[in-house]
Amino acid sequence: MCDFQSIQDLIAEACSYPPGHPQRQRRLTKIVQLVSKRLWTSNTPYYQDALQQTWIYFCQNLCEAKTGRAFDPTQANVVTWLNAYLKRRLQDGFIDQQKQQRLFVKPLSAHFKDEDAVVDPVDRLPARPDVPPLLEEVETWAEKALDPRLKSIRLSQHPQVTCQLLILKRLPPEVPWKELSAELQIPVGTLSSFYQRHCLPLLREFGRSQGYL
Amino acid sequence: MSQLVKPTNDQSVPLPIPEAARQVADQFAQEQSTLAKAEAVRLNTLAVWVTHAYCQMMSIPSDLETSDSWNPIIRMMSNVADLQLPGIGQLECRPVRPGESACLTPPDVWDLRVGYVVVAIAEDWQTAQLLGFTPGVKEESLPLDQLQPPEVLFDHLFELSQTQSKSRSLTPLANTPVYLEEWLKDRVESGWQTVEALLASQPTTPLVNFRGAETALAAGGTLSDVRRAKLIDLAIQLGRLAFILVVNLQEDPPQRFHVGLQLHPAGGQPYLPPNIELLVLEPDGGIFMQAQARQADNYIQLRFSGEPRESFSVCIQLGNARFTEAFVI
Repeated sequence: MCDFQSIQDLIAEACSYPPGHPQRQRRLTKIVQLVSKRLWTSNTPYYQDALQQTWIYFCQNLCEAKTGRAFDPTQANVVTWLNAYLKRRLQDGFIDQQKQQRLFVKPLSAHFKDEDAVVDPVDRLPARPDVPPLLEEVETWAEKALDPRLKSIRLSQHPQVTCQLLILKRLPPEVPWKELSAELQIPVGTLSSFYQRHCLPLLREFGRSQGYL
Repeated sequence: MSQLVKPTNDQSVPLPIPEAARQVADQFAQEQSTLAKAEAVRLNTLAVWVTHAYCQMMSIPSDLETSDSWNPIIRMMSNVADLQLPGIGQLECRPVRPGESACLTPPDVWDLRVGYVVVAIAEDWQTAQLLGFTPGVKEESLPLDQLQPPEVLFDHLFELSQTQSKSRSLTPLANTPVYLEEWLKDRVESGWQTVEALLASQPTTPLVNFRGAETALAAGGTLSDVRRAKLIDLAIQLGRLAFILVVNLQEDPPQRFHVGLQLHPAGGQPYLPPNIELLVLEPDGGIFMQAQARQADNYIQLRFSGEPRESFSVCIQLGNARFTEAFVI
């Protein structure tokens, strides 16, 4: 299924199309699928970073030399080529980690102390006081209609449905769309489309005015 | 390997989740006020990040910073996992967990999307798999066995980028220079229009204002002032990015002209892509002036003065993509 000849053919085909061409993208994807099963694996915490860099390197240098020397199929097969790169990145990662450990006695984030453990997301949640005031800011802005358009932009044929109403309903913990639909007697899709098209732009603008972007 | 979602076909694409992605997902989750919301944001963020990395591999321009999922207010107020593809639109990247047979596609994302990809995030948060693609959704649940293979995405995006670029005026190679003095006589080359006319064709209106011009007029000068704009289409591999180049010419008699250049994003984009450069080149190709966009710049501008019949070129550059046009004052 994964003989090197078929990978070589895929490489030649991929490179016959310009970068960004869907036919090249299809073949690169196929090669990633075939090659990934044959790459070096390791349990080191920076393995996924090294692998990510390897895939970027692969896509940039398979056909053209963009960040390194272009792949030369007469010199090595693609798995050997990528494994060599991957191992160098793993070494870099190891050296970086050594440096980090010398710089910081404690790891930067306690959440990542043990990379191999399955971390319960609940453990990663911060203590309450860390919750930023963003929610309150939006709530105050919407309740007081500090932007007059919050009240003036209405759902056509349903003048009782304003951006102010939907934004307040969708503030977390939000009223589910289905419940809102039943309450207002308006289909979910109509409400959510109005929210996406008319309420989110007001929220984006508010975000910009508050310096969140 | 980790226990992943059982692939619905053997076409899924395995992708790594780097440490930086987990840190960002953590940070975004920590901003949330409920556990359920925090969990959703964490998964959304990872799905978007992984798709962004995959787009980078495939030379599909994508921009996290202008995505709703990267906007603290929008991700709090909406269940979004979008990735902005400049010149194409928002691609929704929905996460699933191991064992799930359907993907949640909330009403928040039914509209204004160019397509949907589904990304499986492994139990240990170390790896992901791009499971597939669908062009549209209408229900809150998308069964995974109804997904098309991931590579269908490429043809879909390519088609979109083609139809979108066809609807815009393609920038011809500028061989003959633009004679700015002609503008003062109301003679304008094709491709250039009044700022008002060009802005009317845009989904959102950038603010075009040359502050220097007002100052000069306020000082009591009798300046002839003309302003024209052109839609610039930069072909960046698969994607296309559209910009508005505004040129302002002021006559300062007897023998002087002030030239103002502004580069704005087009197509409703709020910001210029970071690092895009606006350059004024000497006739010999040397750089006379340059400006470069930082993160979240609405526009960049340059101003200079010249004498009649002086020539210069304006160059807009982003990565390998480049637009150049020659001018004569």
